[in-house]
Formats: sequence, C-alpha cells, structure tokens
Amino acid sequence: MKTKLAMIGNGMAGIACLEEIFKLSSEFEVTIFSEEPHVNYNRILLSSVLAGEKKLDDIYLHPLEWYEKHQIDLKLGVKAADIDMKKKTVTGSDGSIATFDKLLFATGSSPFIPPINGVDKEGVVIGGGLLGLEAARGILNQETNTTVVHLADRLMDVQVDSIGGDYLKSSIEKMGVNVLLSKITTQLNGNGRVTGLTFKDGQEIPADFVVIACGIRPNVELAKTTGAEINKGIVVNDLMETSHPDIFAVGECVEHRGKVYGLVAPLYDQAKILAKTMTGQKDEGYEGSVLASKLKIMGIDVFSAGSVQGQEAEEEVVKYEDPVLGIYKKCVVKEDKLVGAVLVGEAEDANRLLEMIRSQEELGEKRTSLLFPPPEAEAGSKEDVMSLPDTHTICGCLGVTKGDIVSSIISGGIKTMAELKEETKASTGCGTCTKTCNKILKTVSGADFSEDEKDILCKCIPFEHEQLRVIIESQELKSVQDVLEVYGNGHGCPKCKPALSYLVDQIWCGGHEEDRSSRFINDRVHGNIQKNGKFSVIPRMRGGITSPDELRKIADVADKYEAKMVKVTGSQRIDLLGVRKADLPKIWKELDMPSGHAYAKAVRMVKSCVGEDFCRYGTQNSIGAAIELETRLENLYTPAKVKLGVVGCPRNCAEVTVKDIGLVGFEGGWDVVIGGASGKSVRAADILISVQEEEEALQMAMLFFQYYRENGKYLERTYDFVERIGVEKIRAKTVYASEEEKKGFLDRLHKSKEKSFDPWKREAIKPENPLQFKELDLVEPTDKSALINKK
Amino acid sequence: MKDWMKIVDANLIPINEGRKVSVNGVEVGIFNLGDRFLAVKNSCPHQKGPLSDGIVSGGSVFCPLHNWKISLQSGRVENPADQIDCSVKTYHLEKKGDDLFIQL
Ligand code: SRM
Ligand SMILES: Cc1cc2nc3c(=O)[nH]c(=O)nc-3n(C[C@H](O)[C@H](O)[C@H](O)COP(=O)(O)OP(=O)(O)OC[C@H]3O[C@@H](n4cnc5c(N)ncnc54)[C@H](O)[C@@H]3O)c2cc1C
Ligand code: SF4
Ligand code: FES
Repeated sequence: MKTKLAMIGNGMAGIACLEEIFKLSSEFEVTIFSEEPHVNYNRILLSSVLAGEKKLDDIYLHPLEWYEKHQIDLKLGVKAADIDMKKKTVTGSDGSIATFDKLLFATGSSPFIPPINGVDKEGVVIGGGLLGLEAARGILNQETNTTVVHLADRLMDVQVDSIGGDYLKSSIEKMGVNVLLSKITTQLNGNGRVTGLTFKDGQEIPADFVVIACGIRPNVELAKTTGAEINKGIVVNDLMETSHPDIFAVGECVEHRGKVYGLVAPLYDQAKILAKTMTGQKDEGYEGSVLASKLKIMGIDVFSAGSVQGQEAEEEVVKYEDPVLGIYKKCVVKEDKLVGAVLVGEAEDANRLLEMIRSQEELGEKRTSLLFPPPEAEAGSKEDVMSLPDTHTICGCLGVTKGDIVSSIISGGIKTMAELKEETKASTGCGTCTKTCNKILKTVSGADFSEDEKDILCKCIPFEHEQLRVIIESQELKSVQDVLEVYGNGHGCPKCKPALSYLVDQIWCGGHEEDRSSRFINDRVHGNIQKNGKFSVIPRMRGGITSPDELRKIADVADKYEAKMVKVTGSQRIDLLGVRKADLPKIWKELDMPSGHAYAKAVRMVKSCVGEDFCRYGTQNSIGAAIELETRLENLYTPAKVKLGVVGCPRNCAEVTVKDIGLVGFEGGWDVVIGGASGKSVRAADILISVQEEEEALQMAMLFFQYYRENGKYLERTYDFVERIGVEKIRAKTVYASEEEKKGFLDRLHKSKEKSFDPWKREAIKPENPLQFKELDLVEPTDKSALINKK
Repeated sequence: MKDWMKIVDANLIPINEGRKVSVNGVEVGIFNLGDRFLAVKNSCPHQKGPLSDGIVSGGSVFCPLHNWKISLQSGRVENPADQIDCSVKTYHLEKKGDDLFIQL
C-alpha cells in the first residue's frame, strides 16, 4: 500500500519538497489542493510579469505533464476548505474529498495582488522593502505617478545600512519613483474607493490605488484546526516535524527556531530536509539559513546577505563608495570571517561574497580582495569557476552547488542550458547565476556544448525581438531613448537604434516619438548615401508608370543639380546618382514627385507588366492593381525592404514570383504570392491564397504585409520570415484568421498609414533641423581684430 | 596661441548628431553628445566617409559607409580591432553661451 499524501498549496516550496520525495521514494500517492488555477510557477518572477517583462506562460516551472508523470491528483482552483483529523480527510471548496495518511501544509503566506489597471494616475506603495520596490517598479511601467511610503528612515532597512539606503533611494528616485521615508500610515482615506493616505504626522497624500507590501503573513488558518502547534507560522523542529506525527509543513507558512522565511533558498533547504524526514532518512536536520536577497529591478542592483549593520562587538567594516557612479560596497568581517555584505549599484560579485559568508572560511589573504575579486579570478576565465570547490553554491535561489551541476552534466550528457535547467533547476529562480552556469557547462561539456538558440537584438539591449515588442507595448515606451535607458545600456549602437526606431514606429502605428539621432543617415536625409558621401535620388513611379511631363522634370533637375548619372534602375524607376546633400530639398521641390524610399527599410516599388490594357495575353489589369497597391502601402516602414509586383498573367513578365509580395493574375482570379527573392538568395515565392476579385487580392496582400510588419525581425526579409514562420502558419494567422483578427490587422495598417507622410514633401518645405542640409563654410576673416581671442 | 573662431549656434546641433562645417577649407565634423561638444576631422581613416553623418553611440561615432567605430574624444579607431592604430585628427571645440568656437 502506498502512503497517501495530501498537500495543501501548490507553490514553489511544496513542489520542491515533492521533487525531493520522488527522488528518494516511489511510495507516495499524492493529491494536491491548489487554490490558484494554474500549475506551479516561479513566483519570484511575478514582479517581472507585473512589469510586463514576462508573460505568465514564461514563468511556469512544472507543466501539467510533470503532474501526470508522477500520477498526482492535482485539484487546480480548489481550495482546501476543511480538515477532519479523525477521518483523515481534506474537503475541497468544490466538495471533493481526499483521504490521507500524511498531510503536508505548503500554504505559503498571504498572496500579494496589487490592483493595477493602468488608468489610475497616483499609485502609492506602502512598504519600501524588496517587494514594495519591485511593485513600485511594476506600477511605474504603467505610466502612473508612483510613491513609495516607508516606515523606517531608509529603504530596505532590513537588508541595507543607512549609507546603502541613501544610494538606493537616489537610484529609485532617478527611475521616477517618489520616496517618502519615516512615514507611518495611519489611515486610508476615501469612501469605498481610495483617494489618499494620512500619516501619523498629519501629512496627507493623494492616491488612486494603494499596494500594501508590508511583509508576509503565513497562511495558518486551516492548520489551526488540526491541533498542530501554531505560533506566527506552523511550528517545526530541525527535522521539519510539526507537533503532530502525521502533519508536516514547508515553506513560507513555517516557523523554524522562531523565524519565518520569505525567500526561496531557505525554503528549498527546508524542502530537502523534510523529504528525508518523510521518507525515513533522518539526517542532521535544518539549522536555519543565512538570508541573502537581491533586488530584481533592472538597472538597480542591490544585494545583501547576512549581518549587514556591522555595529556589533568585534565586527569590522570594509567599505567602498563612488557617489558619481552610485556604487556602494560594504563587507562585515568578524573573527576573520565574512559575516555580511551589502552591494548597491553593482552586484556582480554577489555570489562570491555569499559563498564566503555561507562557508565561513577564514579569510586570511582573501581579506585584501574582499571588495574586488582578485584579478586572476576575473569573470570570463574558465579557471575561475572550475577552481571553485564542489560544495560552492552556484544557484542561490534553488541551492544548486557546483558539484550538482558538474555531476549532472556528466551523467546526463547535458549539452545546452535548456537541458541543464531542466535537469538541475539551476538558474530557474532569479536568473542571476545563468552566466556562471553557462561557463561551467561550456567547460565540462567541452566540444559537445551547444549554444541555446537565442536571438537577441544586440548586446546593447539583450532581448529577443518578441520580448522587445512586449516590453515596448506593455511599458508604453514611445521613443528609442526610453527603451534603451530602461532596458538597455543607455546609448545603443547602429545595430539596435534603427531596429528600435522601427519597432516603436510599428507598435505605436506611427504615434511614437521620433528620435532622428537613432536613424541611419539615409533616413535623416531621405536619400541613399554613396561612396563619396554624395546621395542618390529615386522618385516614386507607381507601378513603373511615368509621363513625358515627369521625364522632363527629371531631366531638368538632373541638369541643374549636376547629377553624375541618370540610370534606369532594376525596379522600373529612374535614379539620379551622385547629387549633393545640400541640394536634396531643392531637388525634391522641383521634381515635385513622391519619395521612392529607395534608401529605407520601407515599401519600395510595385513593379508591373503591361497587362490586359495592351498585352494580348493579359487577363487582369496589372497596371491598375499595381498603382492601387503602391498607393495603399507607400510611405510605410517595414522590418526590411519590401518589394512588390503585379503581373497580368502567369508569364510573369515583371518577375513577381521573386518579390516579397506579388499578385499573379489569371483568367478569373489572382494568386497572392509571398516570400520570393532574387537578391542575396533566390527563392520562389509561396502561394498565400487564390482569390477571384482584385480588391480581395489587395486585402490579402495587405494582411500579410501587416502581419510581417508586426512579427518580422528587423532586417529580416520576407524570404527568411516566410521560412521561419512557415506558410501554413502564416495562412492561418492572416487569410484564414477570424474576421476580428483580420480587421485588427487592417485597422492597425490604416492607422499607420494615416500617420505616414511623404518625407520629401515635408522636408522640402521645412527641414526637421535647420542645419540638416546646410553646408557651413567658414573662412577666417582677414581682419584679425574680428577674431575672438581666447573667446 | 591659435585663434578661436565662432562657428555656429550650438542649439542647432541636435543631441547625438553630428554636422559638417568647413573651416578654411578643412572639413570638420562637430558632434553634440548632450553633455559636451566634440570635433574631429570629417573624414574616416578607412575610405574618407563623412563621419558627421554617422550614428553616435556613447562617446563614439560609427562611420556611415562601412561602420568603423571612432572615438570622438581621442579620434582613435575602436573597431575593427585590427585597425586600432589608426586615428583621425581631433580639434578643440568650446561652447560659450549659446555659441560654439573652434580652434584649428
Ligand atoms: C539603384 C539600384 C541598382 C540599379 O541601378 O538598378 C540598387 C542599388 C543599391 N542596392 Fe539594390 N538596387 C536596386 C535594385 C535591386 C534589386 C532589383 C529589384 O528591386 O527588382 C535587387 C534584387 C531584389 C531584392 O531586393 O531582393 C536588389 C538587391 C539588393 C540587395 C540584396 C537584398 C537581399 O536581401 O537579397 C542589397 C543589400 C541589402 O539590402 O542588404 C541592395 C543594396 C543596394 C544599395 C542600396 C547598397 C547601399 O546600401 O548603398 C545600392 C545603392 C546604390 C546607390 O549608390 O544608390 N540591393 N537591388 C536599384 C534601385 C531600385 C529602385 O528603383 O529602388
Ligand atoms: C512578487 C514576489 C517577488 C519575490 N521575489 C523573490 C526573490 O527575488 N527571491 C526569493 O528568494 N524570493 C522571492 N519571493 C518569495 C518567494 O516567491 C516565496 O518565498 C516562495 O514562493 C514561497 O513558496 P511557498 O511554496 O512557501 O508559498 P507559495 O509559493 O506562496 O505557495 C503557496 C500556495 O498555497 C496556496 N494555498 C494557500 N492556502 C490554500 C488552501 N487552503 N487550499 C489550497 N491552496 C492554498 C496559495 O494559493 C499558494 O498558491 C518573491 C515573492 C513575490 C510574491
Ligand atoms: S549590385 Fe547593388 S549593391 Fe552591388 S554594387 Fe551594384 S548597386 Fe551596389
Ligand atoms: S569609410 Fe568609414 S568605414 Fe569605410
């Protein structure tokens, strides 16, 4: 007979304990009551979800298959409502009953649910601890005025000392959060809905909503009914036993030696010990944990571990401060052992210090390199990680040691980070040890190592395109500089700036804040830069159709501004090569033709063939459709250039089956084709759909066009995009999508189109910047007295 | 001591952009880095690309022709790595009131 185990709560600690139990024994038949309707997720990353950096899907730890594999009866969305210790049953809120031999409480503490809905203007967070600050960050991202009110005279008073608190305060304020210290909140004002707060000193501040983050309260109500001893939490001894032989508890609902822990590392320690106790392998037991915490706000590094005040007898303090860079480091040493550390502004060294605190090794010579790692241990060198002892904890959140990692790489034949995470759980918590894990993996697996497929935009802003889109949208970031400042290195480079410029434009349908300094010169002067610093001018000739009048204007302009060459391009239009930047506005004005965007990642031309009006084989009006398509899409920017074409029959005289988007007419209808190429690669286009009417064909082309705008990576031509996504999926997402989704694409396309404009027309009249096209030519006056000597 | 010449109203140069000025026939790229203005010869050591048309990143500019990275403070090439011995001439530039002055 298996032992029936009922677990209440489906959180990180409970599941960690089950994992340990399953490693040691297969004698348990488990039922889980989970009040929350989803599988176990990484609660640590909840702040990132609030901040919009991650989706809930990204933070699940155990998929349903895991529960199935272990034959767990998982009651999702069912609260354990009642316990009968005589019958040994738990009754769920849905009326279901589970009998048990052993009962495990893993109920955590009261969940923290900030009521953020984005419309409010004033958000106040009460509590300036880890969670309070992370919550404030989350709210700030929703474009709300955010204030943190804290009881103590410094933020994170439990984790940092007063100087560290000052550094922290100033970086929090720089982020845009107001900080009020030494304020005791006595009252929430308002009737039914909050309007403000009153403090003990009489001051009042307005608030549209309030988040309370004043520490945790273990969930013990239900446990109280069982007769087990309860104090602040469910009381356990070093073997994690409660006062009742059949009742166990783990996690934030537990009180051990008078302490309730609210961080995962100690809870995982507890989980391991409890698993041993429950499977009858008692060992020395749990002796409490050194608390270490890290603030997870991008751009604000705070780390704290152990005893940080340094005011007790025999405690010696070692410190370093750089007020300009905002860096503060402090170590507390006692009897030649490191007992505590605070890092503000730069916390890269956190793991090394934490290990020194945990191991309680004598510092000896290491004392000289407390604040800065000795040079030979410079991050990046392989020897550095590999020389660590096997007992060294690499992943603080999940308590995974170097030894654990190395042995599972060897025994499990692990080659990628994804496998390593799956196998050891290392770096699945806050993620700060990912680099170190990666290094160990590289070294140990050697030639077998393979990089995870991750496609970050650029080192300046290390996110994938999809993540960036989520960030920009959820954070409502409207300019390149905003994105770079909050999520990147603040200054960007020629790779990421144009990409971000495209993304903000596309996401806000042209309603972004334009930042010209992030654009390549072509996009600043609307011409293509050439080898001698001159520019080329290619006006738009929709469908490749021109007129004697236009040709005359082109000829006149070419003469007047001394174009080095006039050339018929490969795209059915005319190029004036080698003109001076200073002449561009005049040329545009005199041509009085729209920009052909030949210099930009944008809609280029729509080539056409003569079609039914003239051609004896023509079945469709290709010229008309081409001009219409070009008119609808011109002036819009795209991930990479988009070249289109329309032909009147499958003879395909305008080569549209090697264009990004093409319409191929036939008797009675049109094929809409996508993803063709005849540049660096040659690829025959795929058929997206066949339709009967010209208007339908145009709509289908527009659906794909907008889908590509919203999902393409910057510089990814459609020939790569179509291969990456797959034609089947593209069809499902565009032409076969629901009417509502289709309308969404077209609406957003129209919105962008409405905001779009012909840059030549606009800047010919008034350049964005008066010096953009001017040539400043200064000559030193011969009359020396006019010179400003020494200014 | 050489003379300082007034070149232009500093407000006309947008932050993180460069503009070309020719001073006595010498083409100079002047750059607004937000907290300071810097000037270098407007000719990339690679193939004479107009640096003032490049994208500014931190204290450097990337040449618009083939992306060489050049420090605006020192004039040194920072990328490609095998070209770091090359550099462009830098000039003294000062802002006084709203105006920029250059010393050639
Ligand atoms: C002017 C023109 C050549 C001509 O005289 O015909 C031209 C000129 C340039 N092409 Fe092109 N391409 C021109 C038609 C084409 C075509 C033919 C076509 O459009 O049907 C192709 C093949 C089709 C395609 O795009 O797939 C073509 C494939 C490329 C490629 C390769 C793109 C690819 O991903 O395969 C590049 C490089 C790139 O974009 O990365 C390129 C890049 C360039 C650039 C912009 C190089 C640069 O960055 O400076 C050239 C600018 C020269 C200059 O000094 O202005 N050009 N280029 C054509 C202008 C067409 C127009 O009216 O806008
Ligand atoms: C926003 C946020 C950020 C955090 N950041 C960090 C961090 O950076 N580092 C760190 O170490 N820790 C962090 N923590 C703390 C860490 O997430 C918790 O310590 C850990 O998740 C607690 O695990 P647990 O299993 O004890 O409780 P929980 O994960 O809270 O799980 C308890 C579960 O039990 C359920 N439950 C309760 N009563 C019942 C009932 N009667 N019936 C059924 N189900 C019930 C609850 O709904 C809950 O799902 C953070 C927490 C939050 C909220
Ligand atoms: S093929 Fe295109 S990119 Fe190459 S030299 Fe000719 S115009 Fe320039
Ligand atoms: S001319 Fe500057 S990089 Fe080539």
